[in-house]
Amino acid sequence: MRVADRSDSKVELLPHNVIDEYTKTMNLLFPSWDIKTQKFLKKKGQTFGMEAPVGYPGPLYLSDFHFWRDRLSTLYTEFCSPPPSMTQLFNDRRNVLQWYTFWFAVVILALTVIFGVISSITACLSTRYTYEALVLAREAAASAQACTCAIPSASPAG
Amino acid sequence: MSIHHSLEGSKHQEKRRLKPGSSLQPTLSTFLNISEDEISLERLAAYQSYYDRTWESLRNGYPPEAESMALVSDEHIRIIATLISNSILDLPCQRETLRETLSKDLHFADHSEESLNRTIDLALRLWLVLNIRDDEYAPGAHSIQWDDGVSLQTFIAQQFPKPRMLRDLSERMFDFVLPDSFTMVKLKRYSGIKVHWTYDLSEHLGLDKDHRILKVFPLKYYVNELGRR
Repeated sequence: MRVADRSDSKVELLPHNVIDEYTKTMNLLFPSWDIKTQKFLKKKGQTFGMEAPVGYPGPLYLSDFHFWRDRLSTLYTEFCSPPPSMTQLFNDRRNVLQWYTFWFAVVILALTVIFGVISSITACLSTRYTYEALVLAREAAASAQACTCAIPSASPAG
Repeated sequence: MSIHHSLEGSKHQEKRRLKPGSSLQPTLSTFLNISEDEISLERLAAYQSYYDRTWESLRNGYPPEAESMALVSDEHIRIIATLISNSILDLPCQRETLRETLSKDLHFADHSEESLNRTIDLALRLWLVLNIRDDEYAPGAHSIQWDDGVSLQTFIAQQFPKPRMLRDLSERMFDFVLPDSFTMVKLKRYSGIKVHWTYDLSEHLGLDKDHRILKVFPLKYYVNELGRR
C-alpha cells in the first residue's frame, strides 16, 4: 500500500519537542566523544552512540528540558548523592581532597585497629608469660627452701 | 509478513513473515513517510530487532492478547498507520472512527471490535514505540491504554506531561548547568546505577531507586527519523 504524499503537511504524532529533548538526554548521558561511553555501549551491544544528531553546542541547563526535567533532576540528585557502597565510594574521585581525606582516615583507622589488636595480643601474652615466670619463680623458691630443710646440720661431735 | 494466530495449515505458513529484513522496508516507509530507497536497514537494525521481538512475543502468546485477535500481518499494520496518518491531518483521530473505517476494509473483514482494538494497539506500539495495550494484557508491566472518547493526539500528549517541579525548583537548581561528567558510565561508577533498555519511549529515564536501575530508550535513530516525518 502506498503512503499518501504528506511531504508538505505537519503530521506530528510524537511532539517534536519530545523527540528533541529525548535526543538531548541521550547525547548528555551517552556522549559520542567519550571513549569509555563508546566502549560501554559496545559491550552492551548498542549502536546508537555515534548516531546523529550527536551533539549540541553550548552547555545544557536543567531548564532546557521540559518533558524529562523531573526525571533528569531526580537522576542528577542521585548522581550527586553519596555513593551507596564502598566500591562506588572508592571509585568516586570527583572531590579529590574529600576522597584523600576520607581514605586517609580509613587507613589511619585500619592501622589503629590492627596495631591495637596486636598490642592487645602482645599485652595478653606478656601478662601470661609474666604470670608463668612468677609461678616458676615461686616453685623454684619453694624447691630451694625444701632443699635447705632436707640437708642435715653438721654434728658438733663429728 | 507476520502472524500470531492459532490457525494452522498453508494459510498460516503463507502469512508468516519469512524474511523480516526484506518486508520491513514497506512498513518503515509507511511509518516514517519516506520512500523505501531512503531507508537504511543497517542503521535501523535495533528497531528491526524490536519489531521482530514484538511479533515473536505475540506468536508465543505473551502477553496473551493474540487470542483475541484475528489474523494479522504487516499489511494490516501499514493500513492502520496510513489511515491514522491521513486522519490526523484535519481532525482529532478517534478510535471509534478508526474502527468504523477499518471494518469496511476487506483486510479486516473477519475482525471483531476487540480484534480491531488490539490490532490498532499493535500498530501503534510498532509505529510510535509506546507500550500501548489494554491493561488486561499487561500484567505487572507499565502500559498505556488508548480508549474510545479520547483522540490519539490528546492521548499521546498525555504521556509526556509538563514538569511538576517548575515551582519547587530553586532558582539555583533551575539554572544549573548539567556537567559533562553526568554520563551513564559515571552514573554506574559513582552511584551504582545500572542501565536497563526499555522499548517504551514514555519510560525513558525512569529510575528505580530501590534496585538502582535506570530505564533508557535506545532507538535514537528511529525516533529521530520519526521526528523528520
